[in-house]
Amino acid sequence: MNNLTSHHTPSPTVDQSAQTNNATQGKAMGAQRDNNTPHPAPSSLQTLLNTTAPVKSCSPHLQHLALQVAHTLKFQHNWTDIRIHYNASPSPSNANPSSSPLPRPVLSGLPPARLYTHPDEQIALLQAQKAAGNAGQALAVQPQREWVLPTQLRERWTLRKFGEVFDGLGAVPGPAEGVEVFRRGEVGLGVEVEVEDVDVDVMGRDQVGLEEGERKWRLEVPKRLLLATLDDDSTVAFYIVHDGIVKPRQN
Amino acid sequence: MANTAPETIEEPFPIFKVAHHYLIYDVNIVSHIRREYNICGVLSGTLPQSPQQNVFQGLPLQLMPEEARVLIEKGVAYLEDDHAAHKRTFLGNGMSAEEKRAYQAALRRQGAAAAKEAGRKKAADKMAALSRKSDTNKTENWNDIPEDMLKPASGRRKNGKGKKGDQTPSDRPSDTEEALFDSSTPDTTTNGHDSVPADITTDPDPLLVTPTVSVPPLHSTPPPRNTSTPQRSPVPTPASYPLFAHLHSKGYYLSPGLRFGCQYVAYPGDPLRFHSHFLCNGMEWDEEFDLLDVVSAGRLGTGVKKGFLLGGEMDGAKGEDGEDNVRTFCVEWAGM
Repeated sequence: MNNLTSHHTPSPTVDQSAQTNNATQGKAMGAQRDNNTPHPAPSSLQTLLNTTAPVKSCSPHLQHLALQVAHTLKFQHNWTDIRIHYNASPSPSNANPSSSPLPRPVLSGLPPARLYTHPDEQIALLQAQKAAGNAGQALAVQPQREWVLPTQLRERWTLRKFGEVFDGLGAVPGPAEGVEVFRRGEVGLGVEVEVEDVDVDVMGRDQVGLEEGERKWRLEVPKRLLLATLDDDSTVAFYIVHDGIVKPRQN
Repeated sequence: MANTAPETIEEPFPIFKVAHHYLIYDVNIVSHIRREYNICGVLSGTLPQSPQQNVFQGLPLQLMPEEARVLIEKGVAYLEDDHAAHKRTFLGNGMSAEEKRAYQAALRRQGAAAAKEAGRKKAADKMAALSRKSDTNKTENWNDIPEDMLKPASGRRKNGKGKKGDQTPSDRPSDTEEALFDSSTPDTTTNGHDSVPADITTDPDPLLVTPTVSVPPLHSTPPPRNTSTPQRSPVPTPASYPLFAHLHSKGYYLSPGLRFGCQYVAYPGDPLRFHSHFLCNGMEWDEEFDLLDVVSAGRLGTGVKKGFLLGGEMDGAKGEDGEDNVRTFCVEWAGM
């Protein structure tokens, strides 16, 4: 697992070479193309795919699908701290998770804002806000890490597949699970900004990043994941799927 | 409805199967199953003259096959196949000679009663017409009547139009016929207000009755209860039945989902009091579906403030303590 993290981090030279490639191609425009014309630089996504080492337990197309969704989450939806999970979460019934691969790689990440608020939690928050005397203001909720299930629109899907994925996942992505794709503070491929190391232990958060009041609404309700469906034109549609009966939000 | 004491319903009650539709004709059973078993059904009865008027429909209540099966498997209802019962009783010579005689006697009694009633009504109408005649026409000489009728209107009918029809004031709409034929009864005494003519005190010939219902002689009897041998359900249901039964056991009210492009719409309580929560599609555990269906149903559901719920029965043995083996997933648009 650890060799993957070292592999996936591209060096800054990749970006520089991309710029020079673009320049040379610009000059060659209109002139007779010869075989020596260099290829255009690989796209940001292609670079990500190229620099991620294949994983034995996972077929390449599923890995690339997951990486493409991760790329979309990172650069179109400003998610951070995106990890890719090849193996099932540890659970009481599953002592050795590294030996039980997930049916397909699953992502986890931190959205910029809370993605889902259970309707009952919303009521509780509103009541707490009213009691505190600041009703009418926007709810102050912290984002939570979410599971993301990458799928392709042309796949045929079954209930069994949903069940198998949910069976392999914990309620919340654990802190040490998975392999990093995009770190916190990574603003582009190989381009990083310094962020102060946000300690998960501060501000009353537990090791999976939940505040005390949030635990009930994340751990005692059915599991949820974000179903990311990729189309051939690289559009991704996101739907929340619950592992059980959860009443709809009143939005 | 609310202030009357609920009728006690004898269980099991019959669900009538007519042309693969499952019908309930008794309004008390309709309210009973809605109150006790979360089953609403769809009222499907129209007025025969205006079948397009479908805003307020009435009895009979039509049940989905799933609803009928849930009730039957609970043991509170049984299926009565109307087609088979008619075939058996009327075509298959299913009635004994004694039953036939009894039925024919009953029909004759019915016809005789109808004939008697018709005769009595006719006589009463005649008497009423004659008494009006005697009230308005002061002459005692019945031979004068034809000349009277030829004369222009007089007395209190002076302002009338003077035609024959004006003998029918608006408050007595039924005496025209009697007035036309009153000459046919010249021998009746004029002041016989209470007397009944002698010819109708004797029984007239019974009318011939064409029965419009077959409830006698047909009658529905609950089948003997044998809990030892679980027999195959008499109601064929689609593959989504396990999901239906699962949601129904959780207290949801389920109605047909055609309006939202799904199989069932699940309400958390009575549909008259609650908005629905879910658009439900049931399928088999390994049945393949397009992700596009999930996207479109999830998007439609979110657009109408509902969730899209899909589920099915997992393979393997049933869970312990009678728990069913259905697993469900809810889909909502993520808003991103």
